Amino acid sequence: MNSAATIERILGDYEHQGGARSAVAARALLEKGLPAVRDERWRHANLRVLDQIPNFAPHATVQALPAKLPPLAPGFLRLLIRDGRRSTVGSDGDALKATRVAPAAAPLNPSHETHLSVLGDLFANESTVIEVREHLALEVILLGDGGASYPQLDIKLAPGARVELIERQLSSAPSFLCPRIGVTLGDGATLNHYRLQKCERGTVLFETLTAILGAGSRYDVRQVGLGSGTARTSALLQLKGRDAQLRWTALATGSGEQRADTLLRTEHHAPGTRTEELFRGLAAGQSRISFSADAYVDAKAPGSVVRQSLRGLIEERGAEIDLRPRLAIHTDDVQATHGATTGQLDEALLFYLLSRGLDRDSARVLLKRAFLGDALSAIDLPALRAEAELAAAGELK
Amino acid sequence: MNAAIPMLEITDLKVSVAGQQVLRGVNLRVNAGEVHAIMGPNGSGKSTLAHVLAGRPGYEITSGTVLFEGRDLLSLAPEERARAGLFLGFQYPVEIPGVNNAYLLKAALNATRRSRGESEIDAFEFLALVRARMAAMQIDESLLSRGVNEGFSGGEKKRNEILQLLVLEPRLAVLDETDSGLDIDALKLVAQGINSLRSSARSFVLVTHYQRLLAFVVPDYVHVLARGRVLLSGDRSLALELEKRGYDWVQEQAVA
Repeated sequence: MNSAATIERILGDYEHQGGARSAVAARALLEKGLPAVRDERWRHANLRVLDQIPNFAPHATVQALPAKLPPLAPGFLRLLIRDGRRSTVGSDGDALKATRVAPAAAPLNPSHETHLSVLGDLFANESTVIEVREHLALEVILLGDGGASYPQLDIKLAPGARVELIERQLSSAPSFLCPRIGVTLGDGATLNHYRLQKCERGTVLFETLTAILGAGSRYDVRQVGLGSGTARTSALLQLKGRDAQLRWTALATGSGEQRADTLLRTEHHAPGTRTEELFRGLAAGQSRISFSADAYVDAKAPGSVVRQSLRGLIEERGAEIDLRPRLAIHTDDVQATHGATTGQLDEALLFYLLSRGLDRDSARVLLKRAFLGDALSAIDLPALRAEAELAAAGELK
Repeated sequence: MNAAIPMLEITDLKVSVAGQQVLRGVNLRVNAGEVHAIMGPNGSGKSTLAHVLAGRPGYEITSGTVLFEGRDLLSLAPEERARAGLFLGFQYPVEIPGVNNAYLLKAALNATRRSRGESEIDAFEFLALVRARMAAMQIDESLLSRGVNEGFSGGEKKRNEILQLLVLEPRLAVLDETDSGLDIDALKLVAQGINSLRSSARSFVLVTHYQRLLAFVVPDYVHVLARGRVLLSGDRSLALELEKRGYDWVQEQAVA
């Protein structure tokens, strides 16, 4: 990766579009540069694709709305964020009323996890704020129509609020998508966050997700990553209130030359906090999938629980999976379990199915679906689970 | 089927595993309607024979032929053997979390039906069939919706194998130590399941260590497999004699 040249191009695109939006971010980019693979937390990210982004300036929507948006789950409102801007076309009126547009969010502290959010700091047009006091069931589509876009969601749940949020990341043409999602959960709030990424193969996705969990709050993420040529999720989740709970269940499939990389950093800062992380990755062709689960429990968080279960299935010789469970614990009173295994399809299981007359291809697909079953079964919205299963099955053939 | 063509005909079968010869020239002929018991000491090659018949990878067949109703069995893939009517009951049935027991049963049955040129089974017909067979095997219906053998006890796994046998109704069933690990009540149930399928058009090869299964499923022939060969064959009385005297005398007699 030619970092200096890419930074020069980024700043050139920034200057070209006015250059006044975030001088702080421009300075941060100049001082800190872009993430590099020598940084352990970016080691598996496909950063070289940044050299190939033709223009970092946000794309201006010109096309008509894609004819086919996915079916809306029953009981949900739809909000469309297209090329980084909240769109009145394609959104439900009530969804527009339940949200508001604000100036782009202030730059994040460029820690290792959120390093690349500097691009959004430079280029984001706006932020869509979702503030909920009681209850909301909302589907947000982050749609890229080609070119670069920097959608921002700022999700704030008041104490005791409950939100069901379906977030879809889609692209109608090869795009550079850099979403930034911020979540703040008040005490006792619950956010069920279903994330489906089905961008087309020419799309490059670098997303940043941060969350702060209040006391007794619960953040439940189910993430399905299927599309994109390159996808990177950088997540920094901080359990700051006593007894806050995080569950992160994710699956990713890769084929061809796909790269899917997740860095999940969870920080326990209060007593009785709990995280459960489950990842299932399936790599075929020459694809590479990686998942780093980096859990930190500080001395102020006794009685915390951390569970990590990471499993990978390599389908072909050229594919690669890298799983890294990591625990840094600074208190004695912690329950922590972690496991990471990567292997190929179990020949004994395959033979059992063949011995019952199933053809080889069907038996393999069945075993792959079974492998992903833990992650798929966590999607407790039947219509969405069926859609995810169908989409995953399409990737498994 | 032509009465002159045996269900299974094994001729001079030699098999190696990881460079070590395990079967050293097995000969066996099983006619339609017959039940054969293969007995023998540990490491004699009984399970190897069962797995080779079902087509499990990892076995090198160095010589010999196996004909299944006159067809070259060894040239068929495992799934083709199953669809042709060969069933292997596993000694250690695997657990497959995430693959629903009912789904597997139905997929297996439909694979067999399609290969026979029959239509796929109707969902209601399938459910009625499976329920009847489960009742016969005293298997709780809740196991249908669980993963294949997932969390089943040893006895439940073996009964599940027989349930599959009863649903698939193969032409030839090779049951590899289906009796091991079963208490007497479960053993009787399993035997009852096997006996319910006995017919003039179906054959069984029972691989077993002990004669206790044979008290309930009376074999037509008993063979002693030791040192990779069938050293002695007889009728049911041979199993009783083996129970009393063990296997050493058979091996000594073969050496003499």
